[in-house]
Amino acid sequence: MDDLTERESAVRGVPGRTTAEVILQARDLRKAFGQTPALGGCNLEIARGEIVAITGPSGSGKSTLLHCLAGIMLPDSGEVLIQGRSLTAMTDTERATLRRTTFGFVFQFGQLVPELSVLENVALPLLLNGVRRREALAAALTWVEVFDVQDLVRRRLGEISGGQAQRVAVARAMAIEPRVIFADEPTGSLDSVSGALVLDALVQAVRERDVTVVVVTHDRDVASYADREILVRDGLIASEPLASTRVEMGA
Amino acid sequence: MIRLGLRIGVLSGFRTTLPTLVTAFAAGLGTLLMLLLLSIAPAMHARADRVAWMDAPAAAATSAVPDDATFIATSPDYLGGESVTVVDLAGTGPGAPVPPGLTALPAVGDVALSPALAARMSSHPDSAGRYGTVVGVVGDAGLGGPDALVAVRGVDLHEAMLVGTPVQAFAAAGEVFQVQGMEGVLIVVAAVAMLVPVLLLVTIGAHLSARSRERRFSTLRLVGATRRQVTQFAAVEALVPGLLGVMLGCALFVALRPAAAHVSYDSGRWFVRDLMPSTPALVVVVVGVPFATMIATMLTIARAQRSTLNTTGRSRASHVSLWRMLPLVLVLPVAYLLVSGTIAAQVFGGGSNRSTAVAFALIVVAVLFAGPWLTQAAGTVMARSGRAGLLLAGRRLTDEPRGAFRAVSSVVLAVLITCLFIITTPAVAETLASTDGSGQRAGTARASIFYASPEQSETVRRLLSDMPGISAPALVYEGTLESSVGAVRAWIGDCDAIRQGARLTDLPCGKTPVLATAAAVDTLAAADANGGGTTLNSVWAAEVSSLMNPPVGVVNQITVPAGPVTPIPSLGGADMPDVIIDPHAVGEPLSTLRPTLLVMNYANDSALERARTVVLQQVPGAYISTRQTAYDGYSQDVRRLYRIITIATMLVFLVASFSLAVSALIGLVERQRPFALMRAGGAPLSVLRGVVLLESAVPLIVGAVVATALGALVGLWVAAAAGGAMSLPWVTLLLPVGAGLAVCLLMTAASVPFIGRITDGNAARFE
Repeated sequence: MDDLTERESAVRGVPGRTTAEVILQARDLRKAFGQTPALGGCNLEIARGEIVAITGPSGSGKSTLLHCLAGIMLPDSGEVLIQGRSLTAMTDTERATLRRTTFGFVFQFGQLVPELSVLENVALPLLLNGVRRREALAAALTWVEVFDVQDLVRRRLGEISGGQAQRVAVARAMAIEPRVIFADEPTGSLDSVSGALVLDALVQAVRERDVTVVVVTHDRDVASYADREILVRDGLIASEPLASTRVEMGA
Repeated sequence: MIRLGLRIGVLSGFRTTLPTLVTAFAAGLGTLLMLLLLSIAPAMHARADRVAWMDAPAAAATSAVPDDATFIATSPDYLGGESVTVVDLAGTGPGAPVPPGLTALPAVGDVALSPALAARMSSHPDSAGRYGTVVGVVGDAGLGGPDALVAVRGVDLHEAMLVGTPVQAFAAAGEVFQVQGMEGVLIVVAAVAMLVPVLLLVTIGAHLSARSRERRFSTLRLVGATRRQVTQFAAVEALVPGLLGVMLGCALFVALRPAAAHVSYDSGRWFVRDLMPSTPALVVVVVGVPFATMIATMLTIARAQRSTLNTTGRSRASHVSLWRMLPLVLVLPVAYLLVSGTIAAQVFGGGSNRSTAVAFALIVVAVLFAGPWLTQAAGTVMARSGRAGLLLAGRRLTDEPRGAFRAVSSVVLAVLITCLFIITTPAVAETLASTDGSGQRAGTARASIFYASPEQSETVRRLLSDMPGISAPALVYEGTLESSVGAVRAWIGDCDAIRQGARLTDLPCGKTPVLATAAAVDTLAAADANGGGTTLNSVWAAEVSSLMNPPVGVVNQITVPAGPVTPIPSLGGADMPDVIIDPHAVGEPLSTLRPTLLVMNYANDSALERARTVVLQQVPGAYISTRQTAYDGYSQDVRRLYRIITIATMLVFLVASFSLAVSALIGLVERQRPFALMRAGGAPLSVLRGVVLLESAVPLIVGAVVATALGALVGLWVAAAAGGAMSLPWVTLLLPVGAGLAVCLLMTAASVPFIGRITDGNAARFE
């Protein structure tokens, strides 16, 4: 993505910065599923290194917004820009390459391949990127240590707890050293203690590496880790409350 | 309750509809196959009954002419390479029975033709008038099938009595040929091989539905449904695909019956109406298939409920041990000894067919046992690769090697059977041709004219010598020479004429009146022990007597004077002479005999057909053979076996490829979420497609390679034991196997387009 046009823009709400590099931008995103509207024209900008929580009630369109921002789904109209480049104008292959090389993903469950060991699961995105097996496994080993699951490297999905599985998923998302991590209810299936462990590890890792995080959640505790909270209601962005005080809590 | 069960079980969306459809499809395929298989026996009986009238019981020679009887005689003929049955009929009174398919006995010189023969004769003008004046058509009631080539002609009573047997009522029930030995074993193996993929499909459908049902049934229990109610829901759900399947299967059976009627092991098409299972069999299928499907589904659900806790995660792979290869290693030398006859002779009293079947069965079991380990080994190699697709597919193979191999096992079985027979059949056929088969030279025809008087024979010879395309017709008197050493065949005839007519170019004519092969020289010497000459038996009296039935009883003896003998090389084949005697050596007694054989050269097929027409018009019961028709008779059993196996393996490939496609699709549906999330994470669609293809293709190819090698090996052993050549027919071996595998891979690839659909953004969004 080195050839991407870099753009600078003023972004409110990022502590310690008056201006920051805008990494992700949405312009008038609209999306409907059949007769049911999911997004009714969303605009937002997210800066490099920012942790943004997208919150809202069930069915408000927050997951759809995340999927559109990540290029998993195309909006019916509107535009998503990643570092100034239109994601909506890319081909399917280009978007897949972008997701594989620039984005990391953490979902609520079911993202680990049950046939692979923990280490192989973490190395999988690197293998998909064409990294040699030995190097991919070595890099994966670094990341399992970062997320404190190094004792589980040989285990399978059925042999680890839900919290451990989510930490493995975060390690996998970080393994490609992404610019943006998209997380959809990353702690939705965990208890509060396990959830906190996962989020603590994630936030620490992204802060050190200046990685942007977009997290969809309806959990106040999760939202409290964010620099900024974007409230989605009925497919529209209802508010963008400043989160300067919460950053220190989460950091 | 039933309506509610239907509503929530069958009509509640794609994920529950798919298992229903898969199970229904499997049950439908099973119903179709069972109906077809169960139709074979009734069709064979119906065919045997239809042609039973042609097989008149052998009657003792009698001079009495029964009242109101019909004399019947059948003789073979060929038209354009196809076998024709010629039936001669003559009634002895107004109440003479008329065979089925005819309204009256044909008058002398008239003939009724089967529709297929009439059509064939119209495209072969050289056969015009061969059987007489065409006055009618033989109806279906008297024919084995729509392609049967039958000519029923009316002949003079004297002629009919000469050749035929009197019947006062035509048989209505025929005998079906008995399937025995290896043929029977292979038919059973093929039938099982066909039904196994169907059972597999049912299991796959049931297994797939168990996942979605588990959660649903728990929910139902939660809202207060009793265990009994849940069982009722499960029964309704499980019964629906079975019922749908039976309807689908019956519809397919009705639709495909005309096409299936073309598939026959011997004499052409079946009559479509003959392909119908008996009523009890029909009831068993219609009731049994839904019931069996319901039981299979409910058993799977019960098993799934027991293992609810571990249905999504996977803790350890179920590896298989290297010991699985041991039977394969052990069975090879045993199979070799069985096939080559060392053990066979002791255990089975030399019954090589049975021992070959046992050897083959042992190898099949060993291959099916070793298959999962081979799959696992291939998976291990793949998983070591640095490529994500190979890693994912390889790891799945090593995790579930039994399941992965099970999906392809019927294809492996089909490959094994195909290879064995592709190699064995030509070798056996070649052996038959070279040893027991015809020694007749190519381009020569020989007319057996037992019932022709010397005058008739001479007339035929003259007519043939004037015919374009026919050359060197020569008359031969056949006889048998017996002594304490053995019996040999003798031809009495002009040596030069025989040399030309039968194309025996190596015959050293003109040296001595008697020529004999090395084997016959001893017999001649033994027969001539007292120096008084050699007596020939079984030569035919010149007078064509009426009522000589069976005709072989009327023979003469002649004595060939002692004298020098010119040795000749063996002429080969059961139909060639060991001794050739010049007519001058026999002298005057020759006039008391009649020639029974006419040898000639033919230039082309058209000339051959003209010669057949002339001979059949002139001589009752005559039969013309060529090298091709002699071979046709000898190799009939082999070809029938080969056809049965070919049909069976084609069906197995077809059913197995369906099963493969469905299991690939289901493997995909089961992993919809991880696949969808991988794709969301940017995994290229090509990698996911590759994973699905590799998971089916690798065990398929590994199994096929092993099966080809073993099938070829056993085939070579069988061929060697039968005395055939040990060369491997690579092209004929690899073409059908390759084509079968290609079909299977294409069917697997048919699931590929679904990958894009079920892993798109929407798939990641729900759950």
